[in-house]
Order: sequence, then structure tokens, then C-alpha cells
Amino acid sequence: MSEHETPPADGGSVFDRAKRLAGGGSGERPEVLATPPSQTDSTQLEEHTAWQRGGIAPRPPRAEDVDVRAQRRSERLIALWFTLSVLGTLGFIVVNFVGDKHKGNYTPLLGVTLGLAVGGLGVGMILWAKRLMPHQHAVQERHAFKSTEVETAVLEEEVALGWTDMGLGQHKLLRRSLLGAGTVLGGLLVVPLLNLTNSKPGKKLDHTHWVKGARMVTSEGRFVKLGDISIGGIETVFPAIPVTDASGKKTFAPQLDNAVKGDSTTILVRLEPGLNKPRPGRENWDINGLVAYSKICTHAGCPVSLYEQQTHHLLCPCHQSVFDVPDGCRAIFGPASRSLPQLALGVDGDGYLIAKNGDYTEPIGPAFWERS
Amino acid sequence: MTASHETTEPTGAPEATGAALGPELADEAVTADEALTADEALTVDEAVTVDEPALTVTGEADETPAATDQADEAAATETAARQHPRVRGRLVANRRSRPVSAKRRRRSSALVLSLALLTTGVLWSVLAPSGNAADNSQNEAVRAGQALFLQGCSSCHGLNLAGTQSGPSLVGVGAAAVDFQMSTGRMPLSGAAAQAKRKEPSYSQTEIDQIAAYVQSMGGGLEKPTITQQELSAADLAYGGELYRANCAQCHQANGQGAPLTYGKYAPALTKATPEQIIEAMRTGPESMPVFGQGQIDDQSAKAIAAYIVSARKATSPGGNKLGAYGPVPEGLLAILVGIGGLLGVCLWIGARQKV
Amino acid sequence: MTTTNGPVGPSAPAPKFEKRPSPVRKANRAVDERFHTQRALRENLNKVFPDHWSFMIGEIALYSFIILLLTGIYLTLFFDPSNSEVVYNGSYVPLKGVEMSRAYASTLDISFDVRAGLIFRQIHHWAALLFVASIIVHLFRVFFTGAYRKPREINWLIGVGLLVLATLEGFAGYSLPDDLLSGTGLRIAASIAQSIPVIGTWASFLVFNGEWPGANFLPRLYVVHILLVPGLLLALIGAHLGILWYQKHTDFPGPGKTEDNVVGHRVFPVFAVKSGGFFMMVFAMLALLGGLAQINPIWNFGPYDPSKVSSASQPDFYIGFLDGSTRLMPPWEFRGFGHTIPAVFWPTVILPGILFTLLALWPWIESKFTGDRENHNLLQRPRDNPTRTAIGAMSISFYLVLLISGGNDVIAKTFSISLNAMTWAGRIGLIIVPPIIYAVTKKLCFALQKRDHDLAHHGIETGIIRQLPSGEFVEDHRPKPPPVSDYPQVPTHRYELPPIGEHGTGEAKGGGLATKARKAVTGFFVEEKTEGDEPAGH
Repeated sequence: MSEHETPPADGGSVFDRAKRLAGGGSGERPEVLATPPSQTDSTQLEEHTAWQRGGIAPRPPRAEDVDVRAQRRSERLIALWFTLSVLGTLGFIVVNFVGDKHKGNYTPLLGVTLGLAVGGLGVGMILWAKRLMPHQHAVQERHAFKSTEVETAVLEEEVALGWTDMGLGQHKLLRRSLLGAGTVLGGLLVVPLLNLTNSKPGKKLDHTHWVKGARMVTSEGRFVKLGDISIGGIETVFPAIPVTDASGKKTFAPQLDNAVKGDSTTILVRLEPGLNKPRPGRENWDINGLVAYSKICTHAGCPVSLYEQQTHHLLCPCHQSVFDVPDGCRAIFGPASRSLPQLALGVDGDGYLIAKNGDYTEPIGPAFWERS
Repeated sequence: MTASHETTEPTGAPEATGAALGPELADEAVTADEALTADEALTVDEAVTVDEPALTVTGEADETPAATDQADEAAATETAARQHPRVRGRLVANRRSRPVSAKRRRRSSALVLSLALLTTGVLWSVLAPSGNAADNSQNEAVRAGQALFLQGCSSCHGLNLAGTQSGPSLVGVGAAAVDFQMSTGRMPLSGAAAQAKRKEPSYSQTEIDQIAAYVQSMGGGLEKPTITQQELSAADLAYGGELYRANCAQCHQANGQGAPLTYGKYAPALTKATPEQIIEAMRTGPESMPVFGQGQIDDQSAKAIAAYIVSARKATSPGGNKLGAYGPVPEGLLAILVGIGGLLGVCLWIGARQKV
Repeated sequence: MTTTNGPVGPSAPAPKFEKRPSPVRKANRAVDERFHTQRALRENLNKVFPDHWSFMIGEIALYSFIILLLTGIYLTLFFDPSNSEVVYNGSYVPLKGVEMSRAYASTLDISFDVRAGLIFRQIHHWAALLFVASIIVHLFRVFFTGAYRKPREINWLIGVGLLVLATLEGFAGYSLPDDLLSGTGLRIAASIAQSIPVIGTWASFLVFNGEWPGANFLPRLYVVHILLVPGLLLALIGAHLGILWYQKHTDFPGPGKTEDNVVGHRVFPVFAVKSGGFFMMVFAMLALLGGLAQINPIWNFGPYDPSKVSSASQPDFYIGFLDGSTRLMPPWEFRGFGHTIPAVFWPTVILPGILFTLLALWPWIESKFTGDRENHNLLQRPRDNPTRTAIGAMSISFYLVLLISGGNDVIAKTFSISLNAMTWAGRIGLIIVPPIIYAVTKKLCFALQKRDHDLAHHGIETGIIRQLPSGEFVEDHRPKPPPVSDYPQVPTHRYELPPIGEHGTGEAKGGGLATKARKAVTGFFVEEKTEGDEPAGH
């Protein structure tokens, strides 16, 4: 509303004003006939672009501002919520100490009581601010951020003088050697980071813990024989390193810690005889349809373990790479681009499965820059 | 469980073990100490009564060698009787106190032989097992199963289980596989899909058992596993859990909620599987599931896994609602929809213009 | 002996300053004598904050952070971040006798054997989800209203930094318990680090202390999670709030609002009480979630083992878009000259690098393209800047396709869709959905603008048709009513106290110091008693 206008007697509504402007007296519908469209077009009225104009229309008062009983009602409501909060707090304390933490309702009860404790306070505070606190907006000026020209000029001068005092502009050798020293010192930051490990990559990623003659052992410590796995079955195995003790007795030490599992996990798959199509040079790497492949996905390292018995596919659950087992575990779907490395299977004198040729012939798992 | 079996045991006979015709001898032919000598034939067949159903003599009721054996034994006993008059052939010796002509001997031998053969034949037809080696009530089950099979399964699996274009052969699948497929309702197949779905079984458990018995009889295979409530409660849950995470979790998910495989196949959730079904599935490897045989997971381990699955799904979740127990996806959805959504609602309430 | 301590309002009796001030006043003066606080306190307690509801979203993030700190401290008192193997002997039966790291075992202890351990652990995890989610929603609000424009670009940069840090912090946090789910995630992280050309293997070995799974990695992760990143977060949040405080909050255009003023509530008392109440509501939501909705039940996953994995292994949602990009990436690996650039490098290193760089530099990108070099304190409604809104919607759709693809196996299982089909749908959707969303959003913005224009210039359509003498039919419009301000306003500048001796802007009589102070203060309100402006009586 512009300041110079006074509210009209028949009501402050702009519509009424429009009608007055239109010349209609009684404000009835028939007068609209024969009225040019522009007469109802509200562009004639300056209130219309009020979005930018900042006109303020009066609001009816809040109940609590005029009615003491409304105030007291609100106050009681707020007090109720605060009381509920107290109950919640007490409840939390009781449940925490008295409740049986092995029961299924312990944590839910703690959650509900804590929720009530803080929520009661929260609802009460919001109601208090909305209903009882002064119902006005304040207006504050923003100040431009830009400093005055004078100040900017003075500062720039002071800094320039300081720079001259430092003499860096004048003494070139000083400046350059300082820059050099500072840069190099900054590079020192890298040194503690490089100290983070004693284990250099080197050729580590090219090898696993499989050695020639290592037996295949399950995570329960059982050595695996050919017949243990049924056709259509799979088994996860790890290396058991041959160890000859002082008396010359040969045993096999299962390597089952996470460091070994991290690169040496191998999956045995028993295909139907005749199904396997070995890659060139790998014709004797399987035994009667039993094949051994690295279980570590060549995409990002998850164990590839979902074997579909009928399609003979291995699916990795992390990013859905699919490997075709009879075809050398070639990657046929998903983001993996390399087949799973194959381990040559043999059988030792006691009938247990061994890694006949030792380690895998290529790095297992996800690829890296140095991998050719 | 012994047969009431009175027979004058011929003492001194080579196999006069006096063994009753009990179950431990079930897989032998009628042993030679029941050899039917001419005289004893008459005593034996009134004495032998076989009154328990467990008495089975599986397939090797090959009476020809037995008959030959018996004839040999008969001859042997005659020889023995002549050599040891006191022992076996006492009666014979008494009766044959004077020499007989060769012709008479031939005639009596022939008579003995034919009588022996006749009695053997009679006894065999009474005692020997029937073609599928089942007793009466087992026969019943198989017969009923066969009828059900022919009615409901043979259109896809063939009249004699050899399979058709629509269904694979069931020869050798075993009762366990049948029980799994039918008690989970996967069979009969409701329609073409990437994979058979679990649904309400179309047959009662009795009918399923009958069909299973029939299929088992037509080619053998794995029998239905049994697991008692006691075994379930006594199982080592920690061990079962370790095995579950090593062998099962990758497909069936850590909480047994299942996961998809490729092209519409899936590893189902384990929320409804009974312990028997769990073990059956492990052993028979239905559809895409690998086969976990005895050599890899023995019976005790299999029961531990089943016990773990059952206990895990019954366990109350200590932290509140499980949200489907499917990991961070439902958790994230709840955080965004309820957490942020709810708090945005509170923001709207706080910032709302004062109502009149 | 008694002194009044009531609020200074028009009807309150005059406080007696000279004699026996109350403890609060005493403290105030004591501090002032040491630190010269009065002016600073006045400025800050009277600072005006606009109160649109969408301005509180950032507060959700702030309060979630505070709750993360509080619950996190509780957890640090019980958690043991050690990789040493132990045999579990706590009260959770299905893991009794199982070998696991101390980290996992201590998390089980917290969950089962510490009073209120599980609820605080769950609140901590829910708060982490809420923290990142609210940062993202806050980012949307700031982006679509143009609040990042000059002079607030630095704050935007800090905000993007906070988003990245919050995401990393969450990832570190849920990887600490060393369970199968998070360990799988760490393995993937190691593979991602390893995939970086030239320095990848070194990066992976340095971070994890050797070849995967590394040696004694958890203590390092712990230090990062409880010290380094929270320190950075605190510093950046402090800077973020400080800049916001100093530059004053932006606001939507509206009645009485200009580029040169802020209209809203003062910090003390209304804004403080509302914010305090809101903090309690955020806390309540987290308490309810923490108690009633189970999150990250690590006991079901078992300890981490590199040879085991569970299906439906997702990261928390804020990493989900990276899981999606990894799943969708075709197997394009570059091999040559004795070296390899693995396929996983592009979707997990390059893509987020580009996305976050573009996000961080956006204020400058926009300013370069629009040529806009002015300060802006008033916000724009999204429709008023269709290009920005369309680009924002397009980016969100891109992000959402990736996020949904991150859970594509869960969706495939739940809705019985082929997994392979989901992968292809994601790959194709990533290319075609964003441009479609761009076009649709832009059209929508223009349509809304036209509607606003029509409303402003022709009024509201009444639906009443009438015929002109010429035979033409026209629809009657009635003018749009003028906008109503949220609250009655008091357009008075507060900072200048009236000079002592002159009458204040009020009508009070008397001239003591107290009276003058009261006049100065109360004069700021209720100058013109507009309708409905009576203050709440006491």
C-alpha cells in the first residue's frame, strides 16, 4: 500500500478499488458488460508488481497477542510438552540402568524415551517461539563490503612500502633463492607420507602365496581330494605350504590368515567331464573337469563366488561381472575386462589336490599401471 | 526282529550257523544250511515262518545258483552222511541200511532232485522279494506315487522318468530332490520363467512322499534327509554361521534375503525354507545352485548350517526394525525419505507463516 | 535487596542499575572489563536472520554434526581399533568362538554388552547418513536459489569441501568395525587407489601399509576418522558459519526486502529459541531412528575375510553413486607399452574428480557465462534462472541414475527384473536421461515464468467468461492480491543509539540512564502501531 493512500471506506480491498476505477457504483456483475477488457486488467493497478515493490498489507493479529486466555492455553500446551520431555528423560534413565540389554526391546525403548526427552523439549521450544514470543520481524541494514577507495589505496601503499622494505623486489638472488628454498621445503611434506609403509610395491602384486606342490586346503583346515567336490559343486581353497621339519618329515602348513587370503584365494569348480575348453597350453591344468581359478575379481578385488551351476557362469556380487568357467573364466559381462587367472591342478601321492606348477602365471586381481 | 524260525538245524553242516532268517542275512540267498535235503525239505517248510515286514532280500534272489548250491549241498550232505553216519545223514543211514541197486538209486536221486526243485520253487515264490524289493506298505507308497506321477508329472518328465522336451530326466535324482522341488511348490512348474518360483505346494506331504518313493525306486539317488529338533537346538551356531558365510552368503545374502543372478535367475530368500529343504537343496543343487556333497560339507556341518539359518531368521533384531535386512539400500532410503523428509516437515512447521 | 530481572519491555518497571546488579549483569560487566564485549554482543545478539523454512536445512547438517561428535565420543570410549586377532567370547552366541579382529569384537561388545551401546552406535550411524543427506539437500537449495553468487563463492567452495569430507568421514567410520560388508568396500577402495596410473600401486601400498589387506590399517583409519577429518570439518564448519554470519544470510525477494537489508528475526531471543528447538527435533528424529530402525547389523555379516562376500554389498548411500558408476562402466581397459590403465579408474577416480571440480568451480563458471559481477543478497526463485535450474536438474538426474544403478541388484531382486537388463538400462539411461531432463526443466521454468508474468500483468483468472459487444469472448481476471508479509515489520535501524539527552524515538518521560536505555531499546519496536501489532502482554 503506498503511504499516501488512505484505506477506502468500503474496505481496503484492491478489487473494490478496481471497481471504483471502472466507474461501477453498485459493484454488480451486469456493469461489467460493455466494459473494455483493460478495465479489469489489473496492470492498471500499481499493486500488481508488488513482488518487487515491498508493499505491506496488514495481517490479522495472532490469537495470543490479543487474548490472554489463548496465551495461557498455549503456555499450558508448552508446559505439557516440557513435562513429557521430563518423563522421557526419566524413562531413559530407568531403561538404561534397569532394562535388560539382551532383550529385544531395550534399544527401541531407549530410542523412544530419548526421542521423547529431546523431542518434548524441541516441540515446546518451537511452540514457545511461534506463539508466545514477540511476533515481529526486525529489519537490519546490509552494508556494502567494498571498502572505501581511500582505505584501499592506503592499504595498497602500505603493502607496497613493506615490500620495498623487504627488498625482495630489489635483490633478485635473495628472492629466487628464497623461492627455491620455500618450494623445496614444502615438498618435504611428501616425505612423511612416503614413510607410511616399509612395504614397497615392487613385484609383490605379481605373486601370490601359492608355491609348487602346495596342497589345497579349505578354511576349516581340510585338505581336498578330487572326489570331495561333487559335479556341479564349488569349493574355496587356500595354499598349504609344504614344510620339511628337522627329521625330514614333510607336512603341509595351511596358510589361512587374511594376508594370504587377500591374494591366494582360489575357487575350485567341478564341471561335467568334457565341458571344459582349456586355453592353449593349459590342457593338463584341470583334472576330470575340476578346474581352479583365482577367486579374486580382476575388476575390483571382491571374491567371485556366485556360481550358476547350469550356465557354468561365475558372477561377482559387487559390480556384476560375469565369467564363463568352461572358457577359461573369460569375462563376458560387466565391468571386468580380464579373465580370472587359472591355477594348474595336480594330485600328489596321497591323492590330495596340489598346485602342480606353483603360482599363477599372471598377476591376480585388479589391474594396475605396471601390469603389462 | 527275528523270524520265528524252528528248524532242526543240521549240525555239523558247513554253514550251520543257526542264524535266524533275520535282517542281517537279508541280502543273502536262502543260505545253504537251510539246504533242502529230501527229508528236511519236509521239516523245513513247515517250520519257516517269516512274519516281519523288514525281511527283504534284495535283488540277488538268484535262485539258479542257489538251487544249484542246494543241489550240491544235497549231494554233499549225502556224501557227508555216508562218511559220517552219525552226523547229518543219521536218518538216511537208518533208512538205507541195505544196499540198493543203481537203477533204484538213480530213480530215487531223480525223485529227490525233482522234489528239491519243486520245493525250492514253491518256497522261492513265497519268500523271495518282488521285483522292486519293497514290502507291502512300501509297495503301496510306490504304487500311489506312481499313479500320482503318471497323472501330474509324466507329461513333462516322461512316462518312465526319462524326460521329454519339456522336462529333464528324473532317473537317479532321488527322493531328496523330489521332496525339495515339490514341498517348496516349485514343481509342478506354474509357468515358463527364468527360474521356478517357490509357491504353495500342490500336493500334500503324504503325496509328495509317495512320489518321492516312486522316483527313488526308479533309479535310486539321495534319500530325504532327516533332522530333528534336538539336533537343531544342539547344533553349533557359530560353526554353522562360519560355513554359511563361506559357502552360502554370496548368493543368499548374509541375512538370507536372497540375491539376483544373471538374466532373471535368482538365489531365493531363505525365510520360508525348512531345515530339511535347506539340506536337500545343498545336496541336490536345484537349478542354478551348486551341489554341496558329503565330501565337502558333511552331515553335521549341513545340519549346523540349517540350524544357523533357522536361528538367524527367528532371532529378534536388537536394534529395532530390520528394514528388510537387506543392507545399506533400505537404510539409505529411510534416512532420506523419513529422516530428511520428516525434518523438512518440521522446517515447514517452524517457518510457516502464523496462522490467523 | 531484590532487583528486578525481568525483560526490558514497555510495561516493565525501570531496572535499577546502580544498586546491586543481578549475577547475570555482574558477569556481563566482569567480562566486559576484560574483553570489551558490549558492542560485539549487541551486534551479534541483534543480528537478523531471515526465516524461510528452506534456510534451516543447513542447520540439520550442523546439528547432525554435533550429535555425531557427542555419540562419537561415547563410542571412542569403548572401541578398540586394532587388527589383532582374538577369539570372541561375548554374549552374542552365533559368533562365540569365532576368530576376529579386536575392532570387530569391540564393536560387538558395544552392540551387545555396553549399556546404551547399541543405541548410540545406531544414532551415530543414522546421524552420519542424515549429515550427508542434509548437506546435499542444502546444496540443492543454495544452488537453485543462486545463493552462491558473489560475494558468497568462497562459502560455496567451503561447502563443497565439507561435502567431500563428510562423505570420506562416513566411509571411514563404517569401515572401522572391520566387518565383511565394509571390508569389501575397503578392498574396492584399495583397488581404486591401485588403478591410478603411474602412482597407483604406491598410493595403495602407502595408504594400506602394504599389499591388501595391509598391515595395521585400522589404527590409521581410526586416527583419520576421530582426529584429522573431524578437525578439518570443525574448522571448515566454523569458517562456513563465520562467513555466513559476517556476510549475513541471503533472502528471497518479498515485501519490504531489498538488496540492502535483511528482514527476519533477531538472534536473541526468537531465532535462538527456534534454532534450539530445531536442534532438539533433529536429535529426536535421530533418537527415534536410532532406537526403532536397525542399521548396519554387523553381527550378521561376520568379520572381514578376503575370501568371503555377501550379495547386496552396497556402500552407504552417499558412496552409492560411485558404486553405480563402477557397475555401469564397460570393460574398457587400456593396455600398451607394458602398462595398463584399468577400467575401474575412469568411473571411480576421473568421474567424481570431474563432478566435484565442476561443482566447486560452478560460481565462477556461471559468472563467466552470464557476465554477472555484482553482489547479490536476494535470492532467485529457480524459475527465474532457467539455465541454471535446468543444468542443476540435469546433474541431479545424472547423479540419480548412478545412485539407482548402485543398488541395481537390490532393485533386480525386489522387482524381479533381470540384472543384466538393469545394467544396460543404467548405461543407456545415463546418456539419454540428463538431456531430456534438461529440456523438460527448462521448458517448465519458462512456463512458470510466463504464468508469473500473466499473473502479474493480467491478474488471476476468474473463470468467468463474458462476451464483448464485438462478439469476442474474454475471461475476467481479478488482480492478484498484494503479498502479505510474514510478520509485521519494524523498519528501523538498530545500531545507532540515540544520543544521550535527546528524546528517544519513544514517548517515555524521565531522563535517568536506565530510562534512556529503555527508550533506546523500546523505540525500536512498535513505532507505528499497525494492526495486530500489540506485543504479547505479560
